[in-house]
Amino acid sequence: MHSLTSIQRVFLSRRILTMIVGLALGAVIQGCASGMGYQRPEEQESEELNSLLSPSFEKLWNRATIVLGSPSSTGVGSPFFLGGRRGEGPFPLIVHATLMDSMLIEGGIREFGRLACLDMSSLDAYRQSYRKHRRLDQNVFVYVEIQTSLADEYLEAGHWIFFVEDQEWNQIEPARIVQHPVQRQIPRPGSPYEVESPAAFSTAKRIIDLYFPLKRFSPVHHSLASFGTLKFVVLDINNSRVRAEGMWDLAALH
Amino acid sequence: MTSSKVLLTTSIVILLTGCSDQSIQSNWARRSPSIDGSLEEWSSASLVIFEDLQVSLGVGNDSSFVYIAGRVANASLQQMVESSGVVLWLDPDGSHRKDLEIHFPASRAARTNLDRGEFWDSLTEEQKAKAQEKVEEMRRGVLVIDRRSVDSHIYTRGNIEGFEAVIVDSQGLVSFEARIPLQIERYFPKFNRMDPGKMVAVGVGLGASRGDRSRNIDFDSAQPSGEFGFPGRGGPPGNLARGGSPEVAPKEIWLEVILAQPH
Repeated sequence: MHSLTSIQRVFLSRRILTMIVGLALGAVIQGCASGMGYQRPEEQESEELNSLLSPSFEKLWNRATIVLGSPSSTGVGSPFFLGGRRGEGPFPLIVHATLMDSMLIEGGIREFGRLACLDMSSLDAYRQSYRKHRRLDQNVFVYVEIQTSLADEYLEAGHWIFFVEDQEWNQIEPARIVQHPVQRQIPRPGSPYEVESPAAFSTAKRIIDLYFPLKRFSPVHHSLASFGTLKFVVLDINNSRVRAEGMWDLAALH
Repeated sequence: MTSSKVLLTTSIVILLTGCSDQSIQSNWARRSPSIDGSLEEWSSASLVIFEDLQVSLGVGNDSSFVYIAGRVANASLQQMVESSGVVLWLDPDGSHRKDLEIHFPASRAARTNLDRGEFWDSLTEEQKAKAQEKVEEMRRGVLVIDRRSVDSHIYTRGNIEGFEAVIVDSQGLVSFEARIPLQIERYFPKFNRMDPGKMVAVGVGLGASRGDRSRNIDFDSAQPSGEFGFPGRGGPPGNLARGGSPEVAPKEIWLEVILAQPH
């Protein structure tokens, strides 16, 4: 065995140090990349498994849901203001947009029908009622949850322009928008989020239903799946540079 | 890095993760204990006491089930158990793999976004009442997560498979008791059967439920939505919540258990 000279030791220790730094950087970069672009598989898996609803329904739901305006976004949009006089900063909303395609709707009908112990005829009536109420023969339904820790103004549907864009750059705005009341976060007593002043921890969310007219979509497409991808865009009505967007991979939904 | 630094780093990691390990012999259960949290049937059984944590644990089994019981005397840990529930990890091969997670009550580990997609709104009032009853049952049940098959299942009280678990707060102590079928492979085929005489590993997580951050935040609104997004419900269930922030980190205790054989 050769004994190492002091120079060799220095080189060796530097090489080891370089390897450690390289590995650490690699881990950090990998962590950042997966956090910015996609939801990490274990997080998604956890969401599917840690639910009172069945994993199969959760899986359908997650596949149809894109997240905009969050660093862990599954959407491809920018989570930041794209320049502009209002300055740079984070997009003020976290947006979860779920494309309620036929498979997800049927999954939901069955899931909630199971909870309510519906027999076949009641299940059929429930299905009809759900579809009729939303006029799903004429509309594409997108269920949107927006959340902010800033002013409630940002939760007003009127503050935003929502539209979808198909691969042929057809931009379609919703024919009908239904916004539900604002819901405020209340940290549960005993939780790590419990604080002395509830006002210090004020995050609020709102659910918005968007109904896009089916007839506006290109007639060459017979089903949503045939679109390939569909872009969903949210932009500030006062400043079009404040925007976020995400993309549904429709083929993957079916 | 010198060996002393490695040792120091390892010690810090162990301290931070709050792990404790112990090997024990399971007690043979001549009569199946009722899973009610009273632990009266455990008086003759040998319990392992973790003095530093102020926690005692016991394991028993018969030819059908393994029974796990525990008492928590530490006030901060009690609070965490009440807030996040208990999670058990069961490794039939005796390693410390967390591939099979058992959470109870299920409500502490599982989200319930019942307002999703407005399916709830389309139910009639009568149907909602029925569904609400079912969901309440599920919330009190046991959530078993099989990470090998990427699957999960909720077992409600009185399920035929025999999964049961309960947490009880009584006389200054928080006690828990759980029953898990030995023939675990029947329900989770990627796991080996546990037989009397075999060594298995049981992990006990106190305040270690996954994803409890999001669960601990409730949205309240004019629209019926409350705890865990459950329409029309709000606030902590029962008398479990005491308020205040936990002062200690979640604790994880592993027991290497030799399952008892009939005498």
